[in-house]
Amino acid sequence: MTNHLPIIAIQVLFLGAFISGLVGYKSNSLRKFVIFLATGTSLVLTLMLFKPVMMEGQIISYWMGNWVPVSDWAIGIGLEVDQLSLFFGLIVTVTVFLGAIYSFKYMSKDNGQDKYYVVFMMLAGSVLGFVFTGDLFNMYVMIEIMTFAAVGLTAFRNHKAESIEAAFKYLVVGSIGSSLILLGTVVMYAQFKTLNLAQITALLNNAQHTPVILFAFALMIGGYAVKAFIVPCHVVAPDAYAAAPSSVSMLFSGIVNKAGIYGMIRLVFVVFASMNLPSMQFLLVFLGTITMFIGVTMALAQSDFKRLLAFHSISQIGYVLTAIGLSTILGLTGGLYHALNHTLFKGLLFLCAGAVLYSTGTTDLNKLGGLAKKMPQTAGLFLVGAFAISGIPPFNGFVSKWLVYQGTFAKSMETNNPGYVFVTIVALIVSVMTLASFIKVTQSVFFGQLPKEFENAEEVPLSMRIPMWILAALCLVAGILPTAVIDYLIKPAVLAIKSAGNYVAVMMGQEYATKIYTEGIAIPKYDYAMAGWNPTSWLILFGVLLIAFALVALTGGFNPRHIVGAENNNAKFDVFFSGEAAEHSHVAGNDLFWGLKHNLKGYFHFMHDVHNGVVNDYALMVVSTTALVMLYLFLLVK
Amino acid sequence: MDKNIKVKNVIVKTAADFFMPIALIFGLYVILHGHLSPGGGFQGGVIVAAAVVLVYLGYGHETTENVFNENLLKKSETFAAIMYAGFAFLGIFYGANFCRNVLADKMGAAGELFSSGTIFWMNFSVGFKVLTGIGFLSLIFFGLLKEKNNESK
Amino acid sequence: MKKFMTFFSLTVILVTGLFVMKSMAVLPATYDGVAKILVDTTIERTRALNAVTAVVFDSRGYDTLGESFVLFTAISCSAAILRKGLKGR
Repeated sequence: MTNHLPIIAIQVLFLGAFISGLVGYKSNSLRKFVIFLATGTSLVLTLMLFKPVMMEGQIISYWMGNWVPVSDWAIGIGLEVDQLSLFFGLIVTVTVFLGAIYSFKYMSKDNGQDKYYVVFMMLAGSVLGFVFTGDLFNMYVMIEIMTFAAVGLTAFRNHKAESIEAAFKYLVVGSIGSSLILLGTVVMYAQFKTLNLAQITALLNNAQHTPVILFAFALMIGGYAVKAFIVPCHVVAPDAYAAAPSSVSMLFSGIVNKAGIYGMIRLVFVVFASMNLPSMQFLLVFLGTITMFIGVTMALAQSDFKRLLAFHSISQIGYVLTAIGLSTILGLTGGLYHALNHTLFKGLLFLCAGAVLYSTGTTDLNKLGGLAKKMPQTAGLFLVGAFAISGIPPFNGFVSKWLVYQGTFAKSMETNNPGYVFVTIVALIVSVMTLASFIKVTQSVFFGQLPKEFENAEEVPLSMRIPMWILAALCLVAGILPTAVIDYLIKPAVLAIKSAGNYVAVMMGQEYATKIYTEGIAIPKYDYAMAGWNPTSWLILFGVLLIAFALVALTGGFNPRHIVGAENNNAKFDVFFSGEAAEHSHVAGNDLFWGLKHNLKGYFHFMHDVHNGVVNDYALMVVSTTALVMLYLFLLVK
Repeated sequence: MDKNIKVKNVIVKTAADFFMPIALIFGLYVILHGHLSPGGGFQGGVIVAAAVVLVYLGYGHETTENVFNENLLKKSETFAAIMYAGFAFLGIFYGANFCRNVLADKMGAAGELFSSGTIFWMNFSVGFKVLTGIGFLSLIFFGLLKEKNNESK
Repeated sequence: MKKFMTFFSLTVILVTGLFVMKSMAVLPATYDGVAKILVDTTIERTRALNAVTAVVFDSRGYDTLGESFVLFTAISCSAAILRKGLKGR
């Protein structure tokens, strides 16, 4: 029975899409019931896989139509759920379940909801199918469904011009990405005459790196870079995230991004495990570092709530890529941990942005303000998400960022390469800039003066708050119980990445694997030490600070008038104490970092010119990235 | 533009009348004989869906809208998708894996029309799905053309 | 810059593509691998005379299921995008 669970979990989501399209044509509640049932069933089925796969270490292989390999050739399509797949599968099902619950109320102001849920469920099912599959062409098919569904959802609010524009850009750039993946798949099939991932892994293990393999590899790296929105293929992401409904933005950052990251991990570390050379690691770390830096600096310059979050999403994906690019145990642990955390806190932040949009009808930071009085729960939950993404203990962002710093630093010690220390420094700076950017958002959305037109803004309904509460709780749990999360989720997944031989043995049979891996299948030792990280003491410190703040605030010591003094009561300073409206001040309240932007105006002008919104240029950026990766591989990776 | 379509062009209308039954029958033949001769569900479905385009070319907007029901087509497409998934699920109900051709031995010998088990039925459901889907897509696009003509008037 | 990047990337992809084509040009006289097994055993495996349909709907039936879902998604998306949306902005 365990064998059938993955395929049923995938198909339940697809069937949910069809049935909700059939019966939910007129009845709202029936449609919601079907969606709830389908996403819930899928979540439960995936959770049922947790015990056999994660705890007992089984790898589930499932041949479609019982077409088991004939004379060592995989003739059918196989699903293969190892610990890495299940790790991403759990992320997908949890995100989809919470996103569906959130959509019930959030989308109630839109028309054509039956169409929305059909496409939503197709997106969900395709990503789950993508992470569970063990076949190269099947990965392409699922990526294709995912891209089309994502484009359709981006354009769902078709009364806004920017939605249609963003969807068009995403369609063009996403299709180029899909074509690159398809071309890579075709070349791989021409070389190996099989499409099964496990068999390709085995055949690649002893093969020479012929030009054909390098060509296919470069094409697929380019394709998955587009799907994961890695700089410089990220340019469509902000438009798409900002224009889509917030429940969909959450899916984009939670699962569409992760699909690209999963594809990269699967290809670079499992299928092309023999290609995992220092030069390849350098390429991934380099891409990751510029991704996180450019993402966060662009976020500082944004004035739209959701565009800002979108750039932060790109930046956090940079952390994930940097960490997994290190290819050490510590790095992979940090990368996967950050991938999990990114889903949790970025989902929470996007849902908060959706709540603000739902109550006020805008996400423009210049128009918003003072919403903490009207929406106290959303404000509190947003603070949790902001603390988590900025890496403030005791929330989860701190743990994974710490692992990334430690991983990059340890890598530099190991390889005597000072470049990795530079990566550590960039990661620290990016973390600080993330915090700075979230101070700006918090100040200009939830604090400061409440504009007159939002006097009637109300707290969002309960069904929208429940997913936000769950995500916030998960953020805290992943922050204060890092050892449990690593032991039960991350460690099996990291070991699965490192033991490609096991992957082959389960799918193609033990005999086949021993023929290929003649020296035996080595599984590395899993050891990590998190220096200076004690969650309980940080939690106590956080609690003490909170109480201290509360005491100061209650006794009136935090009155800005007391601090500034009566004689210095200049309207210019008021904005820093959330006192007055922006127009009385030289420094606009929503532009706290004008000084930084002014000093770096050359850089920001350059970035502004790059993000020019012309689709032709965006397409060129994707193609050039592929070409550069290709050149790099041909010249340096032998 | 609108005027040109409304004029009852005898040649176009007669050609549409003549080719529509041929397209329907040929398309159905391609779908049903997918496992015996070249072609299959995808190709045959598109040929059948050409009937919608032929009706539009011959008779114009209003007739097309009266003859075809958009919602019914969309529902049929969804139903066909469920049908395909259902045939794939038959494998699990019979105790084998997903997509298993469990009916292969229960139907006629190779070369007969009703042979090859679920291949025949999956082919049929894909054909049904494609003909309804492409027909539905053509109808939406014709609707867009109409809106555009109304705006430009 | 843009012009340079266009020509540069096209040249790189073209040259490497030609290089790869050259090394792939020596195709074996007989087909082997998965294709041989699939073609040789079509009729006893599936009872279908058309080998292409047999592969598409049987041994790779799951991919075809996915492909038909791609079509379904594309059509649903067109229906969603081209629907009569809300008025405003």
